[in-house]
Amino acid sequence: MIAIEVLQYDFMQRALVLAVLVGVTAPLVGIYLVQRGLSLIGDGLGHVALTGVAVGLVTSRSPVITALVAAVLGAVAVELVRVRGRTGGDVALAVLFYGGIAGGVVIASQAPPGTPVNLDAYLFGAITTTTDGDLATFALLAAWVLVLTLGFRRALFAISVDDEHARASGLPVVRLNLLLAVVTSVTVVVSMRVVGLLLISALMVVPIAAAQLLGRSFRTTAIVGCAIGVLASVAGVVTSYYADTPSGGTIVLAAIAIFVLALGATALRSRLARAG
Amino acid sequence: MVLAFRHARLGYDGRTAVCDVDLEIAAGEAVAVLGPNGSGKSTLIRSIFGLATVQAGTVEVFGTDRNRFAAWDRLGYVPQRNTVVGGIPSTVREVVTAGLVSSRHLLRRLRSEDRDRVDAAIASVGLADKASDPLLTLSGGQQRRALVARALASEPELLVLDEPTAGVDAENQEVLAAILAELAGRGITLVLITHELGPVRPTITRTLVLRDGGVAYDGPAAGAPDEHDDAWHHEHAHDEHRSSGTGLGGVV
Repeated sequence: MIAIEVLQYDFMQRALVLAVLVGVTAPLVGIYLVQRGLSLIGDGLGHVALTGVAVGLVTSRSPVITALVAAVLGAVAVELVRVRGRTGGDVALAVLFYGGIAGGVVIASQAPPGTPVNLDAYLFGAITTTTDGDLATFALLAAWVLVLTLGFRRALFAISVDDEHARASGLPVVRLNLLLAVVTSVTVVVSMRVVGLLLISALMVVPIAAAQLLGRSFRTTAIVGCAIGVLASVAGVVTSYYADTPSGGTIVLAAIAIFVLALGATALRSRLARAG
Repeated sequence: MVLAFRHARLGYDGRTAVCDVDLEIAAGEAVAVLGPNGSGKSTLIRSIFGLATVQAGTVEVFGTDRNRFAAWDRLGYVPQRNTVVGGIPSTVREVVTAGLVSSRHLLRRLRSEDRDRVDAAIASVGLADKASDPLLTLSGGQQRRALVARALASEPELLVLDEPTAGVDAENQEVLAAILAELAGRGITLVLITHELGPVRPTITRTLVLRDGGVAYDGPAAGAPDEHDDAWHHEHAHDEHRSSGTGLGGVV
């Protein structure tokens, strides 16, 4: 009954479709980031994307497109810094990320009088304000992310699990890393309406963190992670509708609740195994 | 020739680790590369795979300059330590399957013969019953065997192993030695770095001893010095100097 009532409204239909798209794509990209110890890279790219959003709002262009450009440029910069691997690389990343959010705030402040500039919707998500045009754009971007991550999954697995062996096998590791960085930045942009730029990493990381407690292989972890991502996103959207809470925060709390349940299940399984 | 180093100077980031090495390795040889830490052993074999820089001279793989070499499935590489990382559990089968990914087949779906090759590679190292287990739950020796299986998945003609028995218990050393003997029996060219020949000695047909970035000995295993044989190194230092590090096949 609850589901039927929610589906009566167009804005909720769009919100749920977008929730499913993000619920699948964010963990599918996130699994490679978690594997490589780059869990917070999505967070950083979210900061950089904010500058793009501000540019779009101030210049009356599509914030999605300008955020995409900023995030992709940021991702390439991050990858170049990482490849060089020099001391201070983390400092360079910090400068880039904090520069991104600071730039966003400052540029947004320069909006002409009368221009509606609401960064909160991008920082914390506003899934129910998604328009048909937004949904079409996000669906195209999500499809692009899915095609690439699924098509290159074996190569992405190879570079994520053992970078040295991938190089020794003649794989184009630098190009694959760049591909992953760009796919991550697109996922950030697709997710910004759902959970917000400040919470994006949560949807990439938390479902995978829960899934890795339950899975015994990379493949099952990816599948379970996507299932948890969809479950948390849909449950979060529906809950936020009834509880009148922000969608982004509600989705992330739902994901964390599932993670805690997975932790409990793992502890219980270990205890039963010891007792048996 | 499977491998040819022609007056090769090798290293990393402008730092030279191997000077002017000139040697060839033919098909079917089982070559052990010995030498003390820092002698350039790892750099020598890592240069084959582009993991170390060729600063001068050339390195040829199956007759092709390494920079133009593309038939990576003809090579298998087992790194010095378990380089498989990360918090996501990866099964033995998944890791071994990664050995089939090559730049020429980035998007290719796995075919049934690919799965058969993976299963055969896993079985050949005696881990068929562990194929579905997460790699990092295996013992160190079993993990090393799994990495050998990954290198074998593409059915390579040349298998290069960096310290395959280091840090491995005696039982797994024997198992690894038996695997290498079987591979040598199938005609696969073997190049392995080791600190001591131990159980692989019967398989080895040729020994290279590196010292200070040059080849100090090149000949049968019987004449090779022990890594800690300071007297031998001292005795042969002059020979090495005279030969300018170009190999001393006739010294011993």
